[in-house]
Amino acid sequence: MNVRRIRFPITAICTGLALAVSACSPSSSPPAPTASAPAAPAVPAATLPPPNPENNAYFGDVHVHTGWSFDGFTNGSKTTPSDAYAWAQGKAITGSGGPDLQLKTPLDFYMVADHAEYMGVFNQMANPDSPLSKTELAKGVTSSDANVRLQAFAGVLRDMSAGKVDPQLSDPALARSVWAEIIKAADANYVPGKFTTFAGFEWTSNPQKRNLHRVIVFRDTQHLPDLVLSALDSDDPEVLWKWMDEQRARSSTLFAIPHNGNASDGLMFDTVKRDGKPIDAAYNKTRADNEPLYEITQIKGTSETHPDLSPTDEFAGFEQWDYTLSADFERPKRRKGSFVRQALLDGMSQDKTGAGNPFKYGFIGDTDTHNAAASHEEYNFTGKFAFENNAKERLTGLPGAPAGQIQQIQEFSSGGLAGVWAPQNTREAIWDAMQRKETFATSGPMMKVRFFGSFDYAADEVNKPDFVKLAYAKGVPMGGDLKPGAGKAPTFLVMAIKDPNSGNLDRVQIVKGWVDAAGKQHEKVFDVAWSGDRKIGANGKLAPVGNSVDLKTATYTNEIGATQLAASWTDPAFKAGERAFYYARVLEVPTPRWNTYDAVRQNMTPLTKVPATIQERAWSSPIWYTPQNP
Amino acid sequence: MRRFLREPLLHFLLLGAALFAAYAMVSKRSGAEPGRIVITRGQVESLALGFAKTWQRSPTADELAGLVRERIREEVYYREGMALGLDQDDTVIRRRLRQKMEFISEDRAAPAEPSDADLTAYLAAHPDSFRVEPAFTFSQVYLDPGKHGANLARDAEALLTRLRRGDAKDEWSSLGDPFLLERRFTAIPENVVAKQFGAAFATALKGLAPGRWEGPTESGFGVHLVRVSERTEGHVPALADVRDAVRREWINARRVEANEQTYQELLKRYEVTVDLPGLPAQ
Repeated sequence: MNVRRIRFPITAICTGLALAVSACSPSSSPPAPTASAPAAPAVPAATLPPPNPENNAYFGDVHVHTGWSFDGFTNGSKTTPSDAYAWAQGKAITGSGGPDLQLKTPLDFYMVADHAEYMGVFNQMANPDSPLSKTELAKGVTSSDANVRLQAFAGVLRDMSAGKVDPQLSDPALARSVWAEIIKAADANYVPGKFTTFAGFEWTSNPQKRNLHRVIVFRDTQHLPDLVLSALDSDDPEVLWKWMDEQRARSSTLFAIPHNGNASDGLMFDTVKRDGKPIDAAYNKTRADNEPLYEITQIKGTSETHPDLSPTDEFAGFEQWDYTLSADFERPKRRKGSFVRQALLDGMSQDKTGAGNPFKYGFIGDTDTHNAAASHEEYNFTGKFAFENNAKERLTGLPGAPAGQIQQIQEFSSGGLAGVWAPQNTREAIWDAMQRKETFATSGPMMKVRFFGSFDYAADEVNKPDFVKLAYAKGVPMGGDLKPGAGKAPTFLVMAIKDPNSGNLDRVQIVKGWVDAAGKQHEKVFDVAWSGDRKIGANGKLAPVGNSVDLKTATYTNEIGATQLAASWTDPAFKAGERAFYYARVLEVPTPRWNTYDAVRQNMTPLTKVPATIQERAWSSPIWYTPQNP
Repeated sequence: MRRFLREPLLHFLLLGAALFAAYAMVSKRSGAEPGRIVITRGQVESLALGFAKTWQRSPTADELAGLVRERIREEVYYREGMALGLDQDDTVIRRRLRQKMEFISEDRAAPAEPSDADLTAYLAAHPDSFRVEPAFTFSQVYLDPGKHGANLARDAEALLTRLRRGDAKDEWSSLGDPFLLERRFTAIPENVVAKQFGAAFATALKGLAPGRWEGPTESGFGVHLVRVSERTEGHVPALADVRDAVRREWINARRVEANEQTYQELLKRYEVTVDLPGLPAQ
């Protein structure tokens, strides 16, 4: 084969075949960075409520797969991106064989993030040798007579299988891509002020079955690449970031959100690169520039921290899906590098050496559903894959499934939600809030958390009616950096309100991590507000809130817990020379886990290897403190 | 004997033997006359095009050579796998092919642009899909059950009296307990009320007399005294207000219809029997 003989660019011939999505136009090489889909319809200004300078909480999920992901359809999902957007807005959609899927409380934003791998379904159309691009056949296919169309279509299929080719007639514009269809569905469902959608995809890198997956979110659909990068092109995150930079050079605006460090066996937040060399200043800056957020919780588990890493945190063992992506149910061995709290510490240690902080992550939650429906409502869980949309099979597994797989499915969490503080429900406002990390994650419920830090707050500020306005004026919200203070300790204002359709609140905690002068890492969890008249015991722990769940009926009462909790907290051990992060964690009272609802509804034996109840929770993005002259 | 025939181990052994025999045949064939793999110019262009669409530049000669090497590797495995019949009864491959067929049939059936008459008829036939929900403009004062305990009902009653008296010095917006949600909501739809306050509160709101303080009304948080100042009834909107949404649903409905029609046409080519008495084929 002689490479130099390759003719490139390809001369296109317009065929006008009905199979084409793009308008036919002469192609050039490299293709111009044109939009892959028409611009979103202009919005009448009257329908868009004015921006709220104090921001509203919006809830959504930017990690949703449909039957258009290879592992979505092979696991039985018949759903499309349009189904996903209909579901998020409260409509019932196909259950792919199981009961129809419908959520109780509609979401504010949603993004289909199908796997980039095998996204170009019709690759034979990109192939100029493909019989699908033959003009003769195209004529029949575009006929107005339904029967002629059907016969012509059948002819195409017969010729395809007979292997007839005609390399002279070709049009790369016929490369109908699933990506273009995904963008169309996002645009068709975007209603600014009411429901926001994004264009995005998942880059699915898992070297040696270690999860390095990222979801990529674009700010608009006017500046998008024709094709997206898949892990088949490269499984190295540094190549992904390089690709992202090239998109920026062509006016795209995008970031990447990694997830499931818990399934990475230490690779997700490793301090060595894929080539084995230690991470350095260039790597750290590139990573921080491309990745403002980390998805801390989803169906495949929560990766805040692990009891091995945080032995004094009695709430550390929450919904830990402790597996790699290996088919033989292998358990990860390396905790360090797998969980984000430790990564926040490692990031500050990097920064202390002068190399910058690669792991300065805000938090969101998502589900990673593979069946269009996010299924984050614990009492309305329908599984990750389509075959789990059957309560009996969720509980006891598909007939003949290995015990390890059944256990993995029982350990699946119902998934989380992304909470975003944004002035309006638009693509721009929500994307920008995510970029500045003014976000929080929940394990499913729509509880709201405000969290601010400053050296200038008064202790009673949190009780004032205009506390939010004051908090913004004198300090920074979640995701920010404390502005330098005059030697005293910073004060944090935190306020949480329950989801009116879920359990009451147990407590609000502030998690602090810091690196001391000698470089040693520390972490501590402070209880700062709680329900009832409980006291902190001699062991430094607040007594448990209790448990009102009746396992026989899968019900609970809200007689324990509080509807909202607020606190003003000043760091008692602040040292001006030490790097630190602070984030709020809010716990609900115990409520039934999905398996308990299922067992009661199906009149089946409750599961014994997974918890019967769950303390749903929220995590705010951290606020960081960096000494001015370190 | 029947039990023996059902034994998975037997199936495994038979399958193994069959694979071995098939592989021996394939190996012999390729030993006698080597297969030919031709990577056509068109295929190379296709690889280059895919690269260019991802990276917005043409591949270098080295990169292209690498793409071609991978293509050859894929071709070898593909052919050997096909020769072994590994594509048979593979769920992944079967579903993939079905999905491609459905994509083609959807494209083929891409409907014409609907007329206003089409859309008006569709809206009239599916009013519930486009119905605008009732909306409320209201003010609320919150009472935290945790703070009032057994006195909650009494305190709510006293506060209601005070609010209804409406003294000028009694600024309503400073009464009640601190609450993270707003005190005043403007024209919010019923489902957003349910999202913010819980479904029971949204239902109760519909029953309140407008223009005066009412309550106490229970929510997912506690109790509220509420003044509804304006209420818009739910209604089916005019086509002009929801044209895009109706058009989207109309096109989708035509597509579903066309898919089903295609399937029924294809199905006619087959005589289907199901080898299980009592189970209908259709």
